[in-house]
Amino acid sequence: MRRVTLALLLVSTEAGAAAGTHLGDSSRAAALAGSMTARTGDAATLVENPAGLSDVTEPMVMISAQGARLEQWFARTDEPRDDRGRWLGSFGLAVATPLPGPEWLSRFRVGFALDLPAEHALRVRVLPRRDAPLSPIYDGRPDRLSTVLGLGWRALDSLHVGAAVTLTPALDTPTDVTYVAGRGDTPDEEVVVRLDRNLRYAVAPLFGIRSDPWPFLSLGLAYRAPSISRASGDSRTAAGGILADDPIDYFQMWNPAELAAGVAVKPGADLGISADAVWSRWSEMRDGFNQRLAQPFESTVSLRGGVEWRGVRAVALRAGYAFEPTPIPEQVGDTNYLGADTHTLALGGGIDLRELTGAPLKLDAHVRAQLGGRQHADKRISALTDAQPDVPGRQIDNFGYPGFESQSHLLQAGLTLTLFVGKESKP
Amino acid sequence: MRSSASGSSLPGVRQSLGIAALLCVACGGPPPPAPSAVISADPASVCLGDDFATEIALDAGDSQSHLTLVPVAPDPDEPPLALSWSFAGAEHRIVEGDVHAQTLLVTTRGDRPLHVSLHVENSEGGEADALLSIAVTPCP
Repeated sequence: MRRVTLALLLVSTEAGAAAGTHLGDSSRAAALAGSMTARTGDAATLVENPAGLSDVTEPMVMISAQGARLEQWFARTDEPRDDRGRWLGSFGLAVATPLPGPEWLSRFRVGFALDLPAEHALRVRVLPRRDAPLSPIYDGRPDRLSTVLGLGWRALDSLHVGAAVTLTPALDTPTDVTYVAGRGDTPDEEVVVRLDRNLRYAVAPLFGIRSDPWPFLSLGLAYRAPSISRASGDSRTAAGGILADDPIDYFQMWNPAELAAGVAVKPGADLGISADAVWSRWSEMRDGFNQRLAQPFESTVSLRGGVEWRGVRAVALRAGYAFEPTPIPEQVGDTNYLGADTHTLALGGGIDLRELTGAPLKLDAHVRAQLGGRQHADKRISALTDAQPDVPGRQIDNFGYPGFESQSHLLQAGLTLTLFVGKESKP
Repeated sequence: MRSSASGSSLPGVRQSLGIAALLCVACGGPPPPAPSAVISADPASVCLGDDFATEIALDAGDSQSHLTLVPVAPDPDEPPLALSWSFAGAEHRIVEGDVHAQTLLVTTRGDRPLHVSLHVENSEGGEADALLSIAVTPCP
C-alpha cells in the first residue's frame, strides 16, 4: 500500500442543518426527523427548503445549542474494538425578516443562518495513510463552520419560492521550495520555502419551491448542490537538477447533491404529518485526493417522516423517524470507509410563550438517536493493491485486512430559543 | 523498507512542510522543533501464516532529533530521542529488545499485516510518529 499523507482543512463544530452541517438542525426540524420540505418554514429551515423562508411574518432570531455523543467503534476480524467515540457540540444562529416597503416587496423575506462548532475554531486532520478507517458521515460532516444566506418569495398565497447559498471554507495553498547554494551557513539556511495560505469560501446554491393547493395539503421540492471544501494549489520544488511540480488537491465532500420531495398534510386542526424522500448523489464521492473511488459509493434515497400535535394551548409535541441507507459498498478493496444503514428516532416539544404570557418567545427542545447497523467487510486479496510491487508476490498491508466490523450511534439533545423581535406583517 | 514521518525525498519534505504550516495555523504559538520518526524493517513482509518463524528487525536509528530539509549529520551532543514502539494487527512477540529500544526483533503470527507504530520525542518536547505495516504475502 502506497504511503500517503493527507491534510484536510476541517473547521470544526458538530451540529445541524440550520446552516447545513450534520447535526445543527433547529429543535423543531430535528424532532420531525428533518421532514421539512413541505412544512411551514422559519429562519432555521433554509437548507431543508429555502421556500419556507416566505412563511416568516415577523423578524425573528433563533438561537440553538446541541450536544451529542458519538458512539463508534472499528474492529478487525478477531481483534479488540478500537473505540472512536467522541463528544460533539455546536451552536446555531438563524435570523430572518420580511422586507418592509410596498406590497410587492413585502412578499420577500431574507434570512441568514450560521452553524458554529463548539470545540474548535479550526481543525486540521492529518491521516497517515489512504487506507485509514474513515467515516464519511461522522468524521468530517459535523466538523465544519457553515453559513447560509437565503431569500424567500411568496409568489402567490399558495406558492412559495426560495433560493439560498451555503458558504463553506476552502483553502488555497500555493507552495514553492527552492535551494539556493551559498545563501546561508548551513544546508537548512540555503533552502527557501514560500508558503501562501488563503482561506476563502466555497459556494453551493440551494433552491426550493412549495405549493399549498389546499389548506390541508402542501407539496415541496428542494435541490441542494454539493457542499465541498478543497485545499488546493500549486506546489513546486526546485533544487539543483531536481524539479518537481506536484499540485496539491485535497478534497472533502461534506454533503452530496440532494433532491428532496416532500408532502405535508393536516388531517385535523391540531395535527400535521409530513414525509420526505431525499435522493443523495453519493455516487460523485471522491477520495481525499480528489480521485474517483475504486469502489464508488452508491446514490441513496432516504425517507423521513414527522408528526406534530398542537392539541394543548401553546404546546407542540413532535415525533419523527428517518431511514438513511448507507452509500458505502462492502469494503473489499483498499479503502476502509465506515458506515451502515441508519435509523433515526426523534422526539421533541415546544412551548409558545406568546400564547401564554404574551412574551415574544418560543422554546423548543428535542432528543434524537441515530442508530447505525453493524457494518461487516471481508477483504478480497484480488481487490487489494500490491503494497510492494517490486517484491515478488502480492504484498498485503491493508489496514482492514482480513476484514472488519464497525458500528456508529449518535445520541443528541438540543434546545432552540426563538425571539420575535419586530412587528408582525401580513402574510 | 523504511517508513518515515518526515521522509528524505523532497516531495516528502514538501508534504511535511505543508502539514507543519497548516498545523501552525491551528495553534497559538510556534510548536517545539519537530523530530523525525523513521522505521526501518527487514524483512518488510512475511509469508501468510508465518506463525512466528521469521524474525523481523525493526530499527529507529534513522530518526533524528530535528526535522531537516536536507540530510545533516546528527549533533553528537544532542540528547537521545525518547522512543516508543506499539503494535496492532497480527499477534506478535518481541524476541529481542523492548518497546523503548532503538532496535528490536519481533515475530508475527502472519495471518494478517502487523502494523508497527513509532513515537519519538526530542528533548525540547517535539513529537513525531511513523507507521509501517509488515505485509503478508501468499507463499507457494
